[in-house]
Amino acid sequence: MKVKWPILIVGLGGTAALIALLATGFSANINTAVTDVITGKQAPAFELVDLQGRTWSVEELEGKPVFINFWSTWCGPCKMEHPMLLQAAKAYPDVQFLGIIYNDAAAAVDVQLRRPPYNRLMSELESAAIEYPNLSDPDGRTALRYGVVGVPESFFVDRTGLVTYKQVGPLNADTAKRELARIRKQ
Amino acid sequence: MISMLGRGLVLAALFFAATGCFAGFWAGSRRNQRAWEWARNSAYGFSASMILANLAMVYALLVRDFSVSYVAEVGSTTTPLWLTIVSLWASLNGSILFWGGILGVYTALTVYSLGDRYREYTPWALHVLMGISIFFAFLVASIANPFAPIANPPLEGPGPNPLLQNHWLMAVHPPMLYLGYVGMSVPFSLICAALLAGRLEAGWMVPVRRWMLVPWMFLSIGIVLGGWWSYAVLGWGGAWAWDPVENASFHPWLTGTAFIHSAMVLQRKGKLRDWTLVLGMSTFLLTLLGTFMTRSGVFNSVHSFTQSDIGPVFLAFIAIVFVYSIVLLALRSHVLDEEARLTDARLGHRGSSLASVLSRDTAILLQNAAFGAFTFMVLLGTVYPLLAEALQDRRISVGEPYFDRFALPLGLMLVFLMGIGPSLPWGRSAPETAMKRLVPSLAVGTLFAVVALVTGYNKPMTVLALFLVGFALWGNLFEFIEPVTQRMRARKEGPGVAAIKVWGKARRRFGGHIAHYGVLCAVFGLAMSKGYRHEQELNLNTGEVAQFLDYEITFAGARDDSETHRISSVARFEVAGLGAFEPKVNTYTSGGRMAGQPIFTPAVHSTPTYDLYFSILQISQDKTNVIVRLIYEPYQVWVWFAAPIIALGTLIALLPPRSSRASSVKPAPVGEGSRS
Amino acid sequence: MSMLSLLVGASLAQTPAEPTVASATAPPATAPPATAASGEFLIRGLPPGPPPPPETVEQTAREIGLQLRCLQCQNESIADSNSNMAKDSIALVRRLVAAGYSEDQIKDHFVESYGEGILLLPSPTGLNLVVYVGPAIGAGLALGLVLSTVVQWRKEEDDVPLPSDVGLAPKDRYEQRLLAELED
Repeated sequence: MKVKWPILIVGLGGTAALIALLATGFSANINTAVTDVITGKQAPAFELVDLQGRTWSVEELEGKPVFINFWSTWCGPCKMEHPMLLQAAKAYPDVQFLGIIYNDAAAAVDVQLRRPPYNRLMSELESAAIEYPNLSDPDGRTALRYGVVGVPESFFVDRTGLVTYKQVGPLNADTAKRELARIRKQ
Repeated sequence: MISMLGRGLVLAALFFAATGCFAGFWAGSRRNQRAWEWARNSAYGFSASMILANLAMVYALLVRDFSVSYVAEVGSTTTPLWLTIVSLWASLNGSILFWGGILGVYTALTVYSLGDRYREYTPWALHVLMGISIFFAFLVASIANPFAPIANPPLEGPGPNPLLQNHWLMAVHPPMLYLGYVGMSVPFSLICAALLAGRLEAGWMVPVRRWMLVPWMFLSIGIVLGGWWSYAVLGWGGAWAWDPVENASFHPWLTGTAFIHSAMVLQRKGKLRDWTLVLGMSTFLLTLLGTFMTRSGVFNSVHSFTQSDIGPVFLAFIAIVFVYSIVLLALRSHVLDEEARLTDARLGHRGSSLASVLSRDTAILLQNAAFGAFTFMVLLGTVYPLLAEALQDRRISVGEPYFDRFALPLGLMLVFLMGIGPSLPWGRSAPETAMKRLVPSLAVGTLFAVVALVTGYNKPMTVLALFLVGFALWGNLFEFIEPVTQRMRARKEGPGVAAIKVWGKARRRFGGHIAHYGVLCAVFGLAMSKGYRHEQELNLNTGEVAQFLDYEITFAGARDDSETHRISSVARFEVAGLGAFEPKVNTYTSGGRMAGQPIFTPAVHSTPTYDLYFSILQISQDKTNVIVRLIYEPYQVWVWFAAPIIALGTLIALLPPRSSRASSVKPAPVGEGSRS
Repeated sequence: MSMLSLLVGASLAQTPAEPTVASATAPPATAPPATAASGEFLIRGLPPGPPPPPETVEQTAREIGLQLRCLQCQNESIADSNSNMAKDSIALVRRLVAAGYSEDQIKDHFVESYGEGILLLPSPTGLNLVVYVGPAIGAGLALGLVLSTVVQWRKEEDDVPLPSDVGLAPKDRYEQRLLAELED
């Protein structure tokens, strides 16, 4: 039987390549085009004002481990992780916890923090003289600089100002503990 | 109850597909009459079961029988009637069932239209078509079963996806695309039949080409309507964004278009046979690939449904069909070579003539090359992010700027060839004759370019595009007129009689020219609307007046409209001289996980020369402030005109020839056509 | 196309369920003044060039925005998307353009935050060359096939005139054939 080898070889080779490529798609996730380019780098600088009117900047915090959490009141998962974060702030007073308000009104945040369970946790922090400020982020410029796509997203910054870990989506307690331990190391 | 009925029908379809596939093989290889009848009846049986299964599902949707899993998934008691029917393709399992139903319709029509005429081929065609049907019937019967019974049916379902609910085009665009996609299995089966039978006569190319034209037409309409939907719903004022799933529908259109043209060369000259077969088969393979892209969850887009385990099964099927096609072609196409040689020996010539590079043949060859390169480019750009991720773990986006960059030169070249091809004769033309025929086209093209320049449309690309549109327009128009004047001279007939006689006779040819006008309309619309789009965002408080181009725009206020299935925030703008525009933000109460998501619905004022487009970006909670995007796009509607014109041209080409010559085709070998 | 942030938003619950509410505080879409807080450059450590004429800012920003992917959406650029993140992004692009930053500087700035996936036109380096060289090779291959086919056709050509052509001038011959073709 005569066989048209060029058709066979080119065709089957091409098919094998295409199918193999498409098969990698099941494990790949090309739809989140975001690459984590923040971790391992110096935390991008910002200078933001919190709800009480005080200005915070990254430089000021150098030498201190920092935890940054982007969140908003309209985000369900944020509400789920928030109480855990407030408790963590109380448990690790040497770490500076910062909330950055993403695409939300400061007033809405203020209202939410006065409601349970936040009001209780906030007053506990207050009585322990721990500050957990929430910073307004006009035009989302800081979120954009940190490569935030949605909320919640969290960043762990060590004493030298390096971002050691980035969490997309809500944090669980184990990850939070592990990563806080890393940034608290001298 | 309906669950059982539907499932029974689907299993029957699976059974009929299997017996049809087997009997087709038997009838083809043994030339057995009884096996042929068996195959044919099985095909009809498959069609009937699949169509009835679809009707059963529509019934279940209409009576809101939530004990059927699919109805529980997409149904809702609050959706209007038309939406309830449309829900058939609102989600994955239903869409595969719908796919099967369309396959049933195509199968029945194919078997019926081929009749007993091509007995050497038809058993093989049914063998392949039923083989494909086995797969889809299997899907509907197993992993994509929409008829699964639900023991404790809910009282209310979530309702279809809000994007589907938001525009009537969603009732038309998906079925058109399905008709295009599914129908491609018919020409594929007919081509495989020729290879399996080891013969390819000019007579057999007639149904192959006709059956390619039918789904090609639906695919063309589906693509244009998809663009229109995107324009009317998505609020960015564009029709095409090179989304992976849009590209997926574009691939088979490109190869199908190339096939329709190269098939002419094959029919007339007996040339480009393998290439034409490759194009025809690829078209089907690319529809499968497109379906995979839409349904597997690998490529995400607005078109994709929730992820399911259908992906790997579908990929396996694609692999099988690819390998089958390639092996078949590699092993069998030499049989066709032998056949062609024998024919040549009998006729005493090689059945072709090409005295000049300046011929329609060469133009079609170049056109095919451009379409091939185009397909390759779009495919490469679409799958490249997978490659970058697989090899280097990098996330890469390949988007509109990339595709635009390459599509522009290729597209313009195709328009140029569209003007050249029809102006040149088949086979041979003296250079001076060819030039003489091209001069008027060049003149008309130049006229278009000059008019564009004079009226202020002076961007180089727009001017070039308009030049080419004029050039191609005249090339095709002249082909309409010239044969009539010829006949008037040759037969001494009046213009009316001659026109009717000529146009009535060569419908295929003139249908093709009309389809070309449709494409030219779209090219014209795209060149103008993309080149001279103006866009501005306005931030207005109630009562505030603003200026956009020459329009004076007043924000008259916003309100909430409430319907049973949705709430709309409506902003009202008054434009001096044009009246009121009311773009909306619709929020649907039903629609599962998508319920409650705002869908921005623009308001558009369309005229033949321009569109004015209002799309809300934000409405403040107290409805006193709005940010609105205003877009002005000249000649946008011309893009939509393409769909009916292409459809008209295809339908004319599909009309059976008045003389019954084609239906009584003697087994005239390919190649003889050029001498008849 | 672009997908609305709808699908992503719904699945990750990360986008506002009701942006019409959430965005009540959003700033006007017009370009705000190009000065950074505390006299810093808008892009830290990178001085901008001379500011462009204000009337060109919008157009330039849109052109740059069309090349940046809205990462909350599917395959939509930040210039076309309606999502909140896209609105913030395009506003930032406007500010940067107005401050005098060049197209490349602005794109680099976004890449620094989001990675190269944000570019809708991949940079023509490394593996990405596949998508730039690929189509060229494809087109070259196709042209080569056309040439070889035409050469082959010409070799096979028979110069015997068609029976119907004998004795006709070239022009009439063509017209004759045209009529014959119409009979097909």
